[in-house]
Amino acid sequence: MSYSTMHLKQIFTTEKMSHCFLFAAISALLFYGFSLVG
Amino acid sequence: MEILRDPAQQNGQSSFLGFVSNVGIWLWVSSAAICFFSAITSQLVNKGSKRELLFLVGILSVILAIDDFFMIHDRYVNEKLCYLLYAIVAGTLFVRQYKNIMEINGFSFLLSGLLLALSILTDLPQSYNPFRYSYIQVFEEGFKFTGGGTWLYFSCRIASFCPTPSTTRNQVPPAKTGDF
Repeated sequence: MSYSTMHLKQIFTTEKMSHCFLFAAISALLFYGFSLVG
Repeated sequence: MEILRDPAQQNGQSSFLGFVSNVGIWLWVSSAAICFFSAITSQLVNKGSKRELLFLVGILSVILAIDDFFMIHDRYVNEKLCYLLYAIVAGTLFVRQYKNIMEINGFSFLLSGLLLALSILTDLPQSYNPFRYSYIQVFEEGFKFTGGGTWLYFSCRIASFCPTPSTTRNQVPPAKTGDF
């Protein structure tokens, strides 16, 4: 496995990505909800 | 007296005046608090570099909080200069702490950076943008808010990656066979 592939695999780990996306999605939904109210 | 009372109260406005913007500032302040607390209390194996990462992320969070709270880039300093400074600081942080960031959670750092960069990009070309100002504002604030949330997640990840004294001290030793 090349050096760059190894680093890409380290960044795009499914578990890390899913947790991060969940947090980002919650933030986005909160913002959307607030913007609908106000 | 004006400095003591809430702006909404002084102007007789709704309590929700600037609510989302205020919550956005909480995100930066929370990130800074988590990072500084963890930097002070954690017992790190690789002390120097991880503590440095915590301090650098904390300092950047404080700067962003101050900028957001006092509207520095909107009123006092040229916004392009501010954005350039943030890009340089974030880039330097990434290059200097590349190994640690990748080990902890490189994706959240990159996603947060991307969202904040999108916020800046929607903010900059407002003068020749065909869309209504209110629409652009929603997207700009939305990207900033989501970027702040992701940044908070990244701060939590760094802090949780560095064990605090209580977690290391109170660890229960493995049970020996025949204890019961």
